[in-house]
Amino acid sequence: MPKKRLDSRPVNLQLWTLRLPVTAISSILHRLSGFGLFLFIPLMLWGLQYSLASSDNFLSLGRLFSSFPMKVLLWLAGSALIYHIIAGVRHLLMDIHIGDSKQGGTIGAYLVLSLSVLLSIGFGVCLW
Amino acid sequence: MVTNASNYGSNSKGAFGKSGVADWIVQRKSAVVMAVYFAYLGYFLCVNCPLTYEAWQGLFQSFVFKIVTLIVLIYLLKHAWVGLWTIATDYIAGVTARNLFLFLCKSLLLVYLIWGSYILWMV
Repeated sequence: MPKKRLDSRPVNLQLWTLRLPVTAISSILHRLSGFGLFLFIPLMLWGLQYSLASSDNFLSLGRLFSSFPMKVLLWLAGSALIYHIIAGVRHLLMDIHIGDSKQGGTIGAYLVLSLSVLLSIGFGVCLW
Repeated sequence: MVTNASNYGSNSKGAFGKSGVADWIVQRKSAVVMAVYFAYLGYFLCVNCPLTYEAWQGLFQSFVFKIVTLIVLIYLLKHAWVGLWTIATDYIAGVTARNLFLFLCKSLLLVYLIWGSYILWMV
């Protein structure tokens, strides 16, 4: 197999021109949310450290997280976690052959997306 | 029996130098353990709503909970490592660039492990 830079096969990197099936969207969102969660780890660790340090810190953290941009950040992190867990459960179900047919896969993708959006909105309501 | 006919670099097949099945199992095991842990955390936050510093500190002062949290943290880092390794091998074709990225990720994960341990032991 030729090395990539000697490869003359055509490439389409304009991803927005590709029509992806819903299962593909569900899958790439799972990967994206996973990577996003990895990026959120230091923020979560810092929050844990700060919130446990003292009673004053705990209260000032509450005030910090009541600002709009911080709430948006928290909502993004929470939504990523919600989506990643729900899509992950779908992976586990497919491992025991629940929803691993072609129709099952499509239905499962729609279920994951709608359930995640629902819980994400619910989480947003909790924050605000 | 399949022999690896690849002509590329090293012959390691998975995130831990073991099989893809090993990666698959690590992802599932860590996912289930973390799900249970986060479910408990969610339950705790519901019971202790609104959350007080005393309740929060009390939770993390429990020796048993500290150990459980540290184990979950280790599982989280293993889970993240398999995911990052998969992303790296999927999208970063250059060996040097990929290994640099993976080195960076692994270093960060180690930092998080040490940092998390420190946090738990300072409570």
